[in-house]
Amino acid sequence: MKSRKYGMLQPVLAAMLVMMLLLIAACGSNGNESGVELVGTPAPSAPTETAQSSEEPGKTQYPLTVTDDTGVAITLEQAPAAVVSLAPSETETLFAIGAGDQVVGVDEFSNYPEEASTKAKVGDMTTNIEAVMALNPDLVIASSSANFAAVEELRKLNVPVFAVDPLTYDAVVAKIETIGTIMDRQAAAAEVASEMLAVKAKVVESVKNETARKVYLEFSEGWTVGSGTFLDELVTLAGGINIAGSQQGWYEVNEEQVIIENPAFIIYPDWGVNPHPIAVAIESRPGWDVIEAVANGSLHAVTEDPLVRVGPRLADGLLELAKIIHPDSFK
Amino acid sequence: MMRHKLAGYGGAALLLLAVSIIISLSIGSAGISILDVWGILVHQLPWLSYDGTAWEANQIAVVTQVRLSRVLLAVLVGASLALAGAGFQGVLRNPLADPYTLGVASGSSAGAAFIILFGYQIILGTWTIPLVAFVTGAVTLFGVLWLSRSKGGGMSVETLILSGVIMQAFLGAFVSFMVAMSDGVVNQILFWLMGSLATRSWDNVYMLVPFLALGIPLLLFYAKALNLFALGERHAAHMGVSVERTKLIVLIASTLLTAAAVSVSGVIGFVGLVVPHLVRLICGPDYRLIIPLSAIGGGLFVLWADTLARMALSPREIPLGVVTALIGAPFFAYLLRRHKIRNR
Repeated sequence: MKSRKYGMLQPVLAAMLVMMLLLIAACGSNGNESGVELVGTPAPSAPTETAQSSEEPGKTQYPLTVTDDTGVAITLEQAPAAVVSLAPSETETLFAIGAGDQVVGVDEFSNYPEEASTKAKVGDMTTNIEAVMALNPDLVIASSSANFAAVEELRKLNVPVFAVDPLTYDAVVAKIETIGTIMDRQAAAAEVASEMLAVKAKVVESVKNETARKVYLEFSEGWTVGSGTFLDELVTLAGGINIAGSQQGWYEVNEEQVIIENPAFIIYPDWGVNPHPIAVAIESRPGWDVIEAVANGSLHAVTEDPLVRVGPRLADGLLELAKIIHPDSFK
Repeated sequence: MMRHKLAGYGGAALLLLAVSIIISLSIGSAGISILDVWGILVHQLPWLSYDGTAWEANQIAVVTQVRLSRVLLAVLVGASLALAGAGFQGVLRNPLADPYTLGVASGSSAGAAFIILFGYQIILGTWTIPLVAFVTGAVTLFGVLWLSRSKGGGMSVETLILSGVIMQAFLGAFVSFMVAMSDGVVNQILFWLMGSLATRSWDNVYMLVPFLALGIPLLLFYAKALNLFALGERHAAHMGVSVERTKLIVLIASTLLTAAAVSVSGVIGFVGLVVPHLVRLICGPDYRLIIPLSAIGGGLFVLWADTLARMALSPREIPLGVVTALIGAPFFAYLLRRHKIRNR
């Protein structure tokens, strides 16, 4: 009886052990990956320098070697003619720098600009590797955090992948310039980049003499956005103080904290529905009526995509936030 | 003898609950001092005049609107789940039975997931999810009862449990499908499935009160019959228990309690399974003790779990279902082990 019991136990324990090992391995590689990202972040400037040294300014010299945010270098023999984008932000970047014609496939969420939706679809959060291969791309541009598994998979199949993971507004600008270099669209990319920097400079200049106001972000019911995120950076740039900044990333917030912090503005994403579930929920939460923002009706819906996609429209999101927090500075 | 035991254990448990409520009310992520908390609470009493200047409106709102209602809600949700668990274990005579055995949680989850996925959260105001979850949970029970009824009109316990498992598997697949379909940054469905008492209101407290007020006396009334059930249904019938009626009424009462709790809090595991067992380990197999003590014990358990959920990583919330399982499982394992060693 006893030996039979242990006989059953052994494979179960073994399976659990294997699962744990896999888990540890997954965590380990994740941590490692983000470490490389940090090292890799300054990389985008490298290819730009290579390009500058060429005799024809604004024209990319091939073969071009670029290192992405995962620390992997790829060499391109010529300007990519068939590009697949796995993230809406990268699709928007490609179209913004006038490389839309070279895009042959995008992910399901790439809905901007409108032409993007006519491209072949290659999956959502989970990339359909076969669909990507069928398009025979000479370059895949992906987000190293959102498309982690697909990036690994495609590299195994010898598809050149440029995986990006910008962590700040300025890193997004640098990323757009790098993609401009890769696509031989340097002039257009420089224009997009300077436009983004101009918007940032304008916003920072406009709010510089204003008192920073407390802002509470709720981008999913009960969930707020802490520090280390684009939304946090943009709120700060726009002359706001994110009351959830003491914690990292997105998290479910304890409402006592929100009531005590007493934000002057509550910002939630516009989902094109009216009444909005988040606004209705906030107004009906007991005790929230004493919050300055709720008492003054200062609940604002903002266009979601520009604020959560790390592409060229980040500038629009920044401007929208700034106009909400400091309306008088933007008359 | 039984009355003495009930008075002893019950009194001790109630005292513990009162102390726990006082401690839990005193702490929170808003960082209001204990003196202020109790000052605010005492001045809510209608016969004490309050000039309205000693505390900020925000502090008063936090204590009276947020914390007090949440603490009471935790007690009520826990009591409902543990009571339902005791009922199910008594009727099904199965130690693994819990409030979710007959698929109520899966039914409620499927309803809530549907509402969240299609963005209908406010079609009937803030009550939409609780209402739909309650209805789909209750409908699931009737589905299970219908599946397990035999030609003669009776239900065998084995068929009931199997029908519940079938329902759970079917509806669970549905819920998984909806989770896979939703693409938000934060998967609201998953978080509903893990349970939480954050951002609930006094209305939720008022909603649970009638279920408990009817459920406790009703189940107590059948406690004696449940004691005889332990001998087997046939034996109970010989002793004069109307088996089918008892089964049906206890099942329905327990299910409605579960559905009410789940509709407010989402799925909170382990309370309904563990608390009745703990009570049984401590004070024996008499359902006249198990039922009332489970209610108090469940309230205690969820109150502490929720206090941990809101304080451990404050101002972050931890899903309540995660906490109940994380502290419930090891505690239960320890008691079970100790009990086994003692009885060897």
